Amino acid sequence: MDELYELLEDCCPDVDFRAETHLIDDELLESLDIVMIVGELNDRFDISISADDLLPEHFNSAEAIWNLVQQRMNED
Amino acid sequence: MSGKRWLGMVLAALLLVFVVWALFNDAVDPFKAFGDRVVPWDSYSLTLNPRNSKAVYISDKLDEFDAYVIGSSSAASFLPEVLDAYTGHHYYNMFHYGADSAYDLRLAAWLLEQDPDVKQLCLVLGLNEANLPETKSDALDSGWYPVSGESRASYWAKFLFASPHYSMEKLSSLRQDTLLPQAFDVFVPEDGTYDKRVRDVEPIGSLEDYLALHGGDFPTAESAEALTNISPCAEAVGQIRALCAEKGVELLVVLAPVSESQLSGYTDETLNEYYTALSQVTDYWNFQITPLTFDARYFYDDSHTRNDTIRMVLDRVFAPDDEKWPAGFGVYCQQGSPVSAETLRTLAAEAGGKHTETVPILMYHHFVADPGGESTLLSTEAFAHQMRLLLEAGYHPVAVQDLIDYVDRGTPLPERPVLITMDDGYLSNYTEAYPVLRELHIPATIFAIGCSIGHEKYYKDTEFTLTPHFGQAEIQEFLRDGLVSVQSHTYDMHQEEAYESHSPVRSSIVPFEEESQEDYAAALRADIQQQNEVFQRFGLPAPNVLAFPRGYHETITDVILKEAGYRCTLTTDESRVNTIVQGLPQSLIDLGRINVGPETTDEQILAYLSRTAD
Amino acid sequence: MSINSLAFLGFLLAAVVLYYLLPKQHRWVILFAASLVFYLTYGLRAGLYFLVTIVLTYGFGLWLDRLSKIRPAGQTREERQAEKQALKRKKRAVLTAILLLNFASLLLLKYSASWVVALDQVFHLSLPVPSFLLPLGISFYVFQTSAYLIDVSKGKAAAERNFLRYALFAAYFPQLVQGPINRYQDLAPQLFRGNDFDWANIQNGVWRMLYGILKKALIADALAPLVQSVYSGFYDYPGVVSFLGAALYCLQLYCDFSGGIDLVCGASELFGVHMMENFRQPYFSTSLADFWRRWHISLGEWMKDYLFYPLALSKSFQRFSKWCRKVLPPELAKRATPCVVTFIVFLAVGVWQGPGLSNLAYGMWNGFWMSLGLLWVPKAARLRERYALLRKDRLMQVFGILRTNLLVIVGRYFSRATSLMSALRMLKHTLVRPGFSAVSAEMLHGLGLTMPLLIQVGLACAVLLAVSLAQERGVRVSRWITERPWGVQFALMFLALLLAVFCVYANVGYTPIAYVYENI
Repeated sequence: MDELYELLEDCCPDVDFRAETHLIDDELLESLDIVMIVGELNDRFDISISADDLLPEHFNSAEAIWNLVQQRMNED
Repeated sequence: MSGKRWLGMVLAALLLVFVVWALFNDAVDPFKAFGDRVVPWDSYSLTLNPRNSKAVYISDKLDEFDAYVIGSSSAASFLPEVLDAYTGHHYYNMFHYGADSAYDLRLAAWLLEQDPDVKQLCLVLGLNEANLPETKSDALDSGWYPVSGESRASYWAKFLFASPHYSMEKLSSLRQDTLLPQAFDVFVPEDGTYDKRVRDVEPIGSLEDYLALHGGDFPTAESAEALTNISPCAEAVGQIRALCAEKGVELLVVLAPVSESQLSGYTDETLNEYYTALSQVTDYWNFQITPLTFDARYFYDDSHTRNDTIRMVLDRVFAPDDEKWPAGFGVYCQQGSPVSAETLRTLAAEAGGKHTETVPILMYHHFVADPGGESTLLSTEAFAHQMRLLLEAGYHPVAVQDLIDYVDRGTPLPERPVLITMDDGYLSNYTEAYPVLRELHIPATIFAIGCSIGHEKYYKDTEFTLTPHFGQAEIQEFLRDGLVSVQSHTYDMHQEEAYESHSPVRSSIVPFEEESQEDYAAALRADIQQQNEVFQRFGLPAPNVLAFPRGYHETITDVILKEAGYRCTLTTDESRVNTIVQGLPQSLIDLGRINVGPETTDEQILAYLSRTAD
Repeated sequence: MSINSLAFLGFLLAAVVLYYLLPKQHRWVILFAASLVFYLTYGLRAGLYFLVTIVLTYGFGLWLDRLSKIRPAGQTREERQAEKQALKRKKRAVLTAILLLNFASLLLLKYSASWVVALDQVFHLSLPVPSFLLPLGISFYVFQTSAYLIDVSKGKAAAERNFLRYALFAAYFPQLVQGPINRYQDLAPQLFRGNDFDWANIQNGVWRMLYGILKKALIADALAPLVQSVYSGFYDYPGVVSFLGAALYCLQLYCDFSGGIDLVCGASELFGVHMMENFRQPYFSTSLADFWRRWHISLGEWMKDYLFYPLALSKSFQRFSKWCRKVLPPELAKRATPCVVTFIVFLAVGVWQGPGLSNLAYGMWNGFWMSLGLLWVPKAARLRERYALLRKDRLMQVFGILRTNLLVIVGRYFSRATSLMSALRMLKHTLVRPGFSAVSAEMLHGLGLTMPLLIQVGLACAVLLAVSLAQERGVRVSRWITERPWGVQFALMFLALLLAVFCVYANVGYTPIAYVYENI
């Protein structure tokens, strides 16, 4: 999880990922950030998150992102 | 707020919008549908809608008039002042847009019914009357309801709820209104004609120049079309004739001149059909095909004839025996015996001789007997030499009045006419030039600055010295044999900037920058008045020719000078070839001249004189 | 039928009354009939073309739907996997085919003429220039139906089985002229369920329509001739006038496009159908990225969901990412893919705007700054840490707004110009010969910037600004008005109706200029 926070903060230094739970709904993350983050996630955790996974509920909080990563890791 | 109340509120707001709309149109009244009492502007409403506005305008003035011109655009130039002079009646021109003979009939009926002392109606017809259908009665230009027969309710509704655009345009035009007519105020309410002050002072020269400027207004028809409204038109004319006969009113029917451009849209066969149909119901004058038809200068555009052209028409109608104009100009057709288009063409071809002249004009200023070393002054000897030169070359010096007579009455000019002019009114004109003129019997025109006449030493009341100007004694001499005509170079609009204490200085006749048309007109009129007084004081006839100081002038200058009776104006434009045209006084406006000085060679003078336009 | 005309209002009123008179389950039929009538007033030929598109996308939608619903029936897991893969491939092929068909027709109808002309200029082939009738709203329904097909193939939406209902979704008349590009999942339920009559919808709809028509007439159409004369004759004026023209064009375009959208969204609300929002006070944006989230939202969302994400997360770009990580420093490497894909997306936006290099340049201009902005983020964070001034939110907000508008205005040099060369010339003219001192009241007057126009546009813009500020704070203005005392409401309604009647509906001097985005 800390690895994730580090990754996220690296991508978007202006966002407080530890507190926010409506990253998408409040438009703190925009599509560019998401693509960047997904790219990083795919690389770091060696998973494959595709365009079909890009739903707000998967990205609204660091928690949710972590769940998505776990899920994809388990699938493989 | 509940939904229903809300809806009620919206409907109430909408209702109020309609009330405001109606009140706004009623107050501004651009169509003069309700009397136009709040923002009265007759010229505007007549322009927007002559049918409605003229009827409303005339309805409380019917007792001032006892004769009316009826027709559409082709009737516009039938000026009441000219008609009145010939007939002794008091004419009002009721012409309207739309060339709708059914409306002509309704209008004639209404006038005959409302005005018990009508003496004469002048019905003018063009080609469009035989071509255009009746205007729909619910249209904004269908006319005043007592004339058009529309119901009062529909008339009121139509104008109360006319687009507010018209009222807004009227208000915005009001801010832009000037002394001279613009597109939104082209009418003279007092007599119902177009305000052609600007078009009537446009300098006219060669046909080529005129077409270069206005050629776009004279398109040639691509194919001949039929006249689709001949019998309704003839029927309406017949009914007007019957109405007049019943009331004992004289009816004059005139087929107005038509430009070649418009004529090109119809075959002679079609025209004959029209002429025959008309001849079955009335006598009429036919001016449709004349020598003028083929000269665009006699027309403002393809469907509007010049005021001066109609002057010629009325000369012909009311003084047919005066041989001023050629025999083929206008034909009177008795009822039942129409004259065919082919005959008219033949007559026009026979009558159509030369009706223009080229007139070069020389301009002089000061002369000295012995210039000594001063090369800027023209010697008396050189002047005498030049006068002999032009006589020997076959030129005939004429007076300005000869040009005016040529234009007004067709009085022939000698071959190769030339005009000699001298600006400023120097004493040397008398001491040096006059003896030469007398010896050679050469008429000349001198343009004197009114405030300088008789000033031999000083500029006005100052101590600045000036070249001496002639005075009373010299003028007496000029008046005695009439060889020299003294005319105007303005009273005081040729000021020397260095010698004047006030500012801005009127160094020429043009308006100051930022000067309003009204202020300028007042200043120019005052100057003209002062000049007339000075001329009277010296026993001179009032001037009617003016040379522009420094040659500058503007349209409004020409308008005001024409209004004050000036017939001819001169510039210093060497490039203009002066072509004067019979019947068109505009051809005497803004004539060009060559300045002759000591450096001018004989060749230059001869080259200038020999230029021709046509 | 122009949506600015009195005829449209009459048509709308009739449709609304009929809509609520019918029983709920049949109400959608009125919407369908109204859409049909509306489209037919634009001519039969365009309608026929549209019909073909609707039939095709309807059929393919059903096909894709059927493919999505097939459950693998194999015995073993391997068999099922193989079957699944085969189905997936088939679905992909079907989807690709219909999307190609859909977009090819758009490209053919919209761009072929200018391409042929361009080819001709280069190779002098004297080819016949094709002239197609450009059907009303073509790019909007192509985008909308494509999104539907993609969603169906992904199983995100169930295909519509009733052809007439599907036709209504594709051709719902308020969205026909210039969008917004609605999503099937959002729009369809509202169209088919038969909405209850609700005064709030009527009130909001009426206010929104009035706001839209007045924005269009009083600002956009008033400025259009002025903008036209600047863009066509910028050489005759000092360079700063070109900039002024481009800035006024921004205002014109916003009032034109958003005014039209307000009008049709308001009209739609009368039926209780809430279409997608297309604008959110774009000129208050603090960055270009922010601008594109506030400007033409339905297009931006479409591009994001159906072009940006699929492209950025595609296998090719994942491979590209990997490669970047090897050759670039990490900070740059992770931003490489979003940057490149953003650039591609904005090229697509440029092409969507119209043929010609100037539109391409417009896309590139935006793509360039967007990409640069992304690369700039870490740098900006470090700068902010170092300098206290950069942490002043208010100041940075103002700076951001100014900077963003500057970029947008320069972008408008390209999107409005007739050619790339003339846009570049105009830009050069602005920079090389600004000529501030040469600008005079007389010159602006000659351009058409007269006092009455200035007053009219100034007052209208003051209202626009007030409304925008309120909206920015989350106020729904039409609701706010309906909560005022009735005297205030009456006064406002009277004023709005008076302006609408005097300036638009009863004004013979006003000829509505076609919407800029109409037929795009």
